[in-house]
Amino acid sequence: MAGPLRTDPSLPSLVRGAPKERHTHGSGRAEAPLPDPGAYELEFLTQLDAAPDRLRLPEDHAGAPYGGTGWREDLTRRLRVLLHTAPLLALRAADGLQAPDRKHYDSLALALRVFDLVLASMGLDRGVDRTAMQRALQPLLAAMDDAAGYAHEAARHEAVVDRVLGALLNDDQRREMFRATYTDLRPDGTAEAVSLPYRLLEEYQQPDGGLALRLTSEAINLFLGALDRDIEDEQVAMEALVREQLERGSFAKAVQSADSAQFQSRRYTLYIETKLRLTRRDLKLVNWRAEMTPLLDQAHIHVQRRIQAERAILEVACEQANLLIPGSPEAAQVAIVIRLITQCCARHSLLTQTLAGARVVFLDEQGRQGFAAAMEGQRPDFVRDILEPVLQQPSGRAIQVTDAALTAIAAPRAPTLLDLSALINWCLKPRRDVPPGAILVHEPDMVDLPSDVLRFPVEVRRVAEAALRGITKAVLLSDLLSDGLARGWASDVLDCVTLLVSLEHGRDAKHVPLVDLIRTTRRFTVAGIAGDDLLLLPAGMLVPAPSSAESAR
Amino acid sequence: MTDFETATMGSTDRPDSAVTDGWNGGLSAGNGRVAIPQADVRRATRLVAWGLRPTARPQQHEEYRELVERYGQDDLFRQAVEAAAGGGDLRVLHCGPHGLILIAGETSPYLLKPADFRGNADVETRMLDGLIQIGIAATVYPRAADLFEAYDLARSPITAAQVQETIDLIVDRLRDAAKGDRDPGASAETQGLLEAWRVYDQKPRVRETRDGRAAHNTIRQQVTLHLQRLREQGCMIDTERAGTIQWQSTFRYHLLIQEYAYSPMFDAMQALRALPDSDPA
Repeated sequence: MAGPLRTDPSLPSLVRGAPKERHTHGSGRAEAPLPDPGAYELEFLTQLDAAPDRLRLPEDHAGAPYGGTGWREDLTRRLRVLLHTAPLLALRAADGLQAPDRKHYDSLALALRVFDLVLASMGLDRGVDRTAMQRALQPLLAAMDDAAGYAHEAARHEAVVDRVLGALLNDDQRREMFRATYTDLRPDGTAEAVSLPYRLLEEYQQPDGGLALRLTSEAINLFLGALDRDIEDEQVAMEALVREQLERGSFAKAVQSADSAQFQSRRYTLYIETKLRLTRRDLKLVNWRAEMTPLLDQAHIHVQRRIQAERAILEVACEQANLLIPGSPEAAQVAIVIRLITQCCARHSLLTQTLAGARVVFLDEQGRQGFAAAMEGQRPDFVRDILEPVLQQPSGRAIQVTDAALTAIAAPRAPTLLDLSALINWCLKPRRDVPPGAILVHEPDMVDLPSDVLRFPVEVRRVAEAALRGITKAVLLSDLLSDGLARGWASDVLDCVTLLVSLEHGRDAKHVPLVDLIRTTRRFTVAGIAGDDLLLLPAGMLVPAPSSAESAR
Repeated sequence: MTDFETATMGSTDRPDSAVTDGWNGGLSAGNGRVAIPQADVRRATRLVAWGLRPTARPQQHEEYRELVERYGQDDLFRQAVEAAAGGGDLRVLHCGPHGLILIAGETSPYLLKPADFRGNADVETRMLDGLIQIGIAATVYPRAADLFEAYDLARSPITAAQVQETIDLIVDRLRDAAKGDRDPGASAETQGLLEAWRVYDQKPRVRETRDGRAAHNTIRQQVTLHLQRLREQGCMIDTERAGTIQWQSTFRYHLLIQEYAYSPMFDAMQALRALPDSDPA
């Protein structure tokens, strides 16, 4: 990739992706136009051959490119590309430090799949969010589990995806930009330390309020082979390829090419929209005169040509579809091509509208941002310039700043008005009518019964009491229940007998007992009734029953 | 009047042009005198009404979405909306897929005054409320450069503990620096002479009640209440991750802080710094 450098400003390339911050303390001489590097390169290599142990700088290297150091601008570009991989390599390097059950996940492979998924979703109505990402990575994680002999575990997968996304978003540094420092050479050969701030992945808020992921231009170029490519050229090439493949009958390849063409159209749309977004944010972030105006002019011509080319492809595709047997695999492939190219065409039509309104965006923002005094000057550091100084102020003065904060951050609140007549009507409103067909639910009356036994029907109580009064000799409760069960007592009768016996405990002296009882240590279970067994005796055998007269008193 | 009858607004010879003063230059379409259908005036006011519901989203309400789209496409309608908002001393900060975002001027009946922020609050509590809001902004935007980021870029989620830590770090430093100084006079507190960090420092940081709930009067709980208040205003979304409540600032919050709110805070701070120390403000 030693060809001539691109100078087309429309490219979202790694070279121009983010501004370089220079920390040099070099000579600061004016930069002269570069001479042809070819002749110097040849001389440089000759010297190298002649003096393999030590290379001396040429005596007069003022005119030599990069001071005769042999450096070239494309080397800087490649260096910058390589630096963008640092977060990915750091992520992979940390794989070995993970818990034993997580070491088998290849985080670099997962990160590339994340790039792939995010790229596929960019430009669509709805981007891919964390939850969707978790689901989409599930098969890959499961495959890694299978290879290492681990069971699939959702919580572990979630943690791994969080780690990968966190690394790509730079969560450790509170999502600040990654920063790489490298050595660059000025045209006069002065070496300088240069800082390169960049992002790979961003989380953004969609209009529906949800969050989604998107790749930065740098990440897109890195993922697509770290090539400094012209999106427009790629689109043209891809469309030509689709058309040729359709005409040659290579339908499967045409589907792939159409898919790539669609991706290129999304990428181009995204690029234009990003530029306009930056304009809305701050005019200073884009160079409208030198960059945006020619870009919009070129984009307008480009999009019109794309629409024409896509219509031509659709004509060829429709002709081919007519010649194919309906339902055949080839017909299905051509149908996919038609769908993808139709989507490209629709996207480009929408982009035409966006481009038409782009100049208005600039003029509007110029007026608005020029008016807003708030946009001028430096932005404060909240901690250093506001929070810390206000904390040092006496509270009587600090309140001026804190009041300003409360007022500025609070959203406008619609004052509510009291409608007195509505209030009175509401207070006097009759009880709501029951709509026809509604089922009335009667609240059960809660009644305190004097005895739990009364919950049984009277006939059940009679049978149970007769059974207990009929005891003439000592008998175990379990035996009584077993006999009753054998005689066909209903479960209600069994329950009632048990309850009556249990109520014989702790009664006051006025109670007329049905039976006397002695507790045993034996456990019993009969017909689902279980507990300590009781020895039942005829009433009065243990404790004399009070006379009827005493009871009445 | 029917919808077909028109209202004339923004003409150059109209004596009452105060409606649009300050925010924009009034309605214009080249000849200086523009007739707006009354139905459009009503729609413009409807859009302002939607803007006063900070949690409503155009994607969820068809009428809101249509009005926002019209705002973007029709210059005259946009001017009508801004005039309608300006009548209530409201300024349109943004109108797009995220909705209409308004800010209230000092004389606006829609302005939430600091005293209204919390019912029956004393001055000290009001100051703590403001400090916490600044603390939240400082936690979301730890560096000045962050204020230049895109509004829709999701910033790192924050927790109530992180906000508290942001303020605590400074207060701890100020407390250490004040060691050896004379204690403030007993009347300093009532006279508003006690430094703000001392007022903050007097409050308990985290405390639990006997039944395990967070105590209401702690700094941590107050931070949580403010984050909840921001959620009600469409500025925060709360999510639970790994058992911790995290707060994600929204497009609205970013726009509000980056485009507007930092400025009055910073200006007020600069004005305070310009005062001599003895001035009681």
